[in-house]
Amino acid sequence: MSKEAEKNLLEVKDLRVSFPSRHGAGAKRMVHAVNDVSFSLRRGRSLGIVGESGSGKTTTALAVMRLVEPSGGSILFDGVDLTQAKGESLRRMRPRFQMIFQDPFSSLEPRKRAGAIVREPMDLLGIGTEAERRQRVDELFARVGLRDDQKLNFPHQFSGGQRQRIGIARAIATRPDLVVCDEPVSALDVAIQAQILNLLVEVQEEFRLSYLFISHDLGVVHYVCDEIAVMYLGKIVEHNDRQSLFRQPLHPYTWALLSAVPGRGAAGRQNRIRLKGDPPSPFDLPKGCSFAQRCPFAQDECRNVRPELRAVSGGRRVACHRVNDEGIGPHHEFGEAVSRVEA
Amino acid sequence: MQPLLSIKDLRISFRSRTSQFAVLEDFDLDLQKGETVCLVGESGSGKTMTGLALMGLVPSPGFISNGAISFEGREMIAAGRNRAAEIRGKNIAMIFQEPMTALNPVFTIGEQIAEMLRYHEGLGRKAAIERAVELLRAVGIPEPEQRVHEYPHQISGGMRQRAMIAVALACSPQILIADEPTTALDVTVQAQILDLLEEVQERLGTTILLITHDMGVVADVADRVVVMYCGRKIEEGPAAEVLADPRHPYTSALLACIPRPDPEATTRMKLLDIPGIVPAASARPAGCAYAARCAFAFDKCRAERPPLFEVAEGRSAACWLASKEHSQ
Repeated sequence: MSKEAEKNLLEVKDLRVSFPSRHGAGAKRMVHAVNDVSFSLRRGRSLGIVGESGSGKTTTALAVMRLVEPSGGSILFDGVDLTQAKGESLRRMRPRFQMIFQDPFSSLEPRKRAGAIVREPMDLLGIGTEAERRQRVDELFARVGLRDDQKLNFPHQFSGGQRQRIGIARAIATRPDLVVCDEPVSALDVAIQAQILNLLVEVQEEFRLSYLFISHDLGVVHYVCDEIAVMYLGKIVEHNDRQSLFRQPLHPYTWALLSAVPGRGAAGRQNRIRLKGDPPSPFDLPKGCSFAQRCPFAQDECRNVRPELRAVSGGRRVACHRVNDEGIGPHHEFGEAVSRVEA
Repeated sequence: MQPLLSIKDLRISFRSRTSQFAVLEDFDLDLQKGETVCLVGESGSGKTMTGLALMGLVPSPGFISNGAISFEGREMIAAGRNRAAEIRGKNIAMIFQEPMTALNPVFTIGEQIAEMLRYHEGLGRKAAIERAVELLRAVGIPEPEQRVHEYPHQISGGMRQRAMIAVALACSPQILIADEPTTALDVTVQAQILDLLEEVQERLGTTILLITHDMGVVADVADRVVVMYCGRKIEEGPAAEVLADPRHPYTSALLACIPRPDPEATTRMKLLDIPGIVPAASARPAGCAYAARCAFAFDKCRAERPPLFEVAEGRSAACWLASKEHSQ
């Protein structure tokens, strides 16, 4: 592997994002959407962030894009701290990191033609001459599987899958290094989802893109990502490469998440951790582990001391008091008894 | 055995000023007591329309242009609105995908359950609220005595879906139609709701018609599965058999294009994708509606629409490749 490939393209350290919010009739309070999140991403690789609603995965993505203001931490993109970049210096970086959005219906300007939508980032960031931009749009349309004459159509004339193709063409128009994908296929039917996932993987290889890939769908993340970080209530609770995460999930929450995926048949449904209740509110984060109140293995320590993300054997990272340094937790020891653990 | 509910030759049409087209056609389905049947398909396959037709809720300008629906042998479409409404609320109930929009935001959870009980069972206000508390407890809502007086926005998405199930169960219906009941929910909450539906079925012997796009959900809960494409049934059979050995190319493709977490996978296999999109119901081709996207299509597929062939006991597929003459 070349030296360049080993260098981190993106390094996020202790990222925090908080929003002031008025909940009900009460006083103004802070929502801690992202709490001390750290991860890094190498060039040409893809990192998946999975989690349920309210886990902070989309906020993390938006912070990396500088679409929300972080309240702490740093985001090093190719050595430059994006949290410190402003105005013209941020604008000069912009072509190098772009985003694909979840909803292909609301993320395209309805009054612009498809060709103009794809060209817009180049226009705004002043990339190339007029003729070069036009030629780039032609190439991009062909690359993402749209016909040349469709450049003149408006978004409403396209199907959901085609609109997502436009979104992809727009995101790679500026030849970025990093593309942040926020649930790019969750609004699509499965047959179309497969088309778009294949396209995403193809363009990644072709243009050596790095993906920060946000999804709630473990099957999709498994297909696209090399590494996966699992978030729960604003924190990363486990971070591992794809194979080891799916083969032996370390955190009880990851285990529960994997076992809740439907499609394992009746036998699979018996043998799983059933989580009770909903995730707690991000307004009042519990003192200890944020997963403790839903975790069937929680002890006093879990409720009182917040576990930090630490490395266990094999360089795998987990934030759980109950998992030892060999990477063995109570859910592994009980193995077969998993179905009986639920109260 | 007489089925609990029988749909015969159902057609739902939409009329515009210039044209009329069917969004559901030639649709037959029998539901037996206590079974779970899944309707699967992509958007526009007609699965939701089937559920709405059973509830008498086909949205205008759509209307039932042909066919019969009978409940315990009693015809519903011809019976007139009042008679059908009586059968429905009491014996057939439906839950929807998005509980925030399906529940009325200006009434408390309790009032919405009580409405069902007062209308169909003639209970008084106080008795109905008491019964609502019981129902909320039965669907696993903590502190039901407080929740019964709360409004939908005050509770979480998973709790709202539980509340909607409580509304649907108020009159102990024999058939529960669930239209994508877990699609809007997180995966751990989805598992809770599927468990709840199963528990309700065991306790009350309810027949469940589950509408979903998720083959994983089908694998977990369905006794029988009906695969729909562009307004028609294209395959039907016991769920385990259809999933293990699909006979319609569309069913196989639909199963193959879902990415699944496989702990043993070391390399990435390209996902099978189905080229193109589902044709619009208003522009359905002459032959098989799937022919243009099908890897196995031949001339006959494009010229003539295949009927449902019986391929095994209790199994059928609408594909020329499944016909007897072809397999000989």
